[in-house]
Amino acid sequence: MSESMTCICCPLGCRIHIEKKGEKTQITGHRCKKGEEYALQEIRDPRRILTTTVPIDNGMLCLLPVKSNKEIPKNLVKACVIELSKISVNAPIKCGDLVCKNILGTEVDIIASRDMEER
Amino acid sequence: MWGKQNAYWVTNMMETDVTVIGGGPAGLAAALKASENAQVILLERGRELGGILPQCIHQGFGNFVFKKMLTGPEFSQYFIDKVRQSDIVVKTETTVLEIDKNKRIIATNSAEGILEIQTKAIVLSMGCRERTRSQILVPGTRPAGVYTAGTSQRLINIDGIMPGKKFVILGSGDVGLIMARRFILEGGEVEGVYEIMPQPGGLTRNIVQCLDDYNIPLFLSHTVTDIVGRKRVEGVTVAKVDESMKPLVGTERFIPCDCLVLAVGLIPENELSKQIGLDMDGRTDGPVVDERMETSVSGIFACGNVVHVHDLVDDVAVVAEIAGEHAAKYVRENLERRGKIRTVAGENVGYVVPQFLRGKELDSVTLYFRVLSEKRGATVIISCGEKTIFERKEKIVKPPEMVKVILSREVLNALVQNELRVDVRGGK
Repeated sequence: MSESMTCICCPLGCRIHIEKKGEKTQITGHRCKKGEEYALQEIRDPRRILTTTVPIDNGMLCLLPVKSNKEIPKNLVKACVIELSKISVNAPIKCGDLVCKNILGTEVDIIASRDMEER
Repeated sequence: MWGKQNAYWVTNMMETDVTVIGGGPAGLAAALKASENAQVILLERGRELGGILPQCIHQGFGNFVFKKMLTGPEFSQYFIDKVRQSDIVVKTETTVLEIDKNKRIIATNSAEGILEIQTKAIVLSMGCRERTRSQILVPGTRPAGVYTAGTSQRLINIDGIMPGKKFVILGSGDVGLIMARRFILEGGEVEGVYEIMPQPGGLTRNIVQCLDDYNIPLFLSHTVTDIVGRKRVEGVTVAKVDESMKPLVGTERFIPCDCLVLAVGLIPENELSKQIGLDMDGRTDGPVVDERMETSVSGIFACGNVVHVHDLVDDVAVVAEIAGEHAAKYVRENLERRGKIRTVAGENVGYVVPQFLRGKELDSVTLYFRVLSEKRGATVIISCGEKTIFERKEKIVKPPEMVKVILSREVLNALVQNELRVDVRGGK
């Protein structure tokens, strides 16, 4: 198995290549230790912070921006957004309030990323 | 009563020390800093404070100021909370109509009518706006479905309206990249991102996490040559371009889509600055400022994207505090204007901000500049006459990433000539 990716650790943006031959993983193209760690993390367990919105009733605006309090597995980002489309909350909300606990069993919580006053 | 300018029937007259125009990140940070030592009025055209940040729901703000990654709404929430706790007078949904050199401001809102504010100092923080279709002259019909990236962002993240189903994005600026991911997550389809330049306009992080993560192709040296559709966009034609950015005949390709999103750059919003008669810099499209962010008119300061377009809101907050602090200082004791040192953009440098230095207050001065072309292993050299006062080797410099150099007071005090030249030499 082989894979290529662009490193995002610094503006150099090295093109890193990863070759997997059985147990052995060979990483080339990086220029520093950080790049190697980034590549390993990206092939073993790539994770992202999720940000989206959920509908809010009785708020100043109709949507509340939310985010995951930790990174979630990259392949669950879309599924989490779909899960969150089923949720709605009520104003008032404070920045940091819990919106969805342990989303899709990831042990990551979804929290509000701003205050929302009542209409 | 008739206002002093006799052009407006003024229904409300006010006096204050510092008036800040625009309640985005620059205005919020400037107002807060100024309010430590002065009476402040903050005028904002929109319904709420925060400027563009409330619609930038993605992560990536505050790494420098807060030492953690925040979303846009979180970043602005911090400043909004602080402003609410302060004694700053905030007027939202208030538009400034006129400012004169005597620092008399005419503004209007529907609750109060016409306001005249006599202020001792002004901070301009109107931000920037997006370049539109008519500014880049995309040929074709004029159907619904052509949006700027920021407008599509507002529609999706604030108003809950999906502006299309199948998107083509022209330009690879950061907002366009961020929106590509957003369209996908909201159930849309993104055919591709087309960039006229041979290199991307946005940050590498965004290319990777917004395009690569979702297998969205990026076509460099490409542009949109035609928009087709009568009532609604039915498709666009894209083509390759040559080195002079002219479309190449025979490379055209028609893409059916119902939405064309433009991420083709930002322009500082300086109608008020020009009306006052401030000296402008043709390269930044903003007013020229000194290291205290004071413009060519004493007591009028400017900060944030109105001065030049920044990559990071963190940098905006830092310069806005400098502007706010010195606006308050100007009110109390005036600012000294000693000898003026010009900063000059030399080899491979597009512009340098501040454009001149003339005070002695700051312990250090940060120069912000952009390179014209990407180079690996180039050296930043700052010189004064024959003498090199600063040198730094850079792993890489590229136009989308602003370069910063901090010069200490010691170095600045030792300057003998009145010109400071910034060069980015060598590299491949």
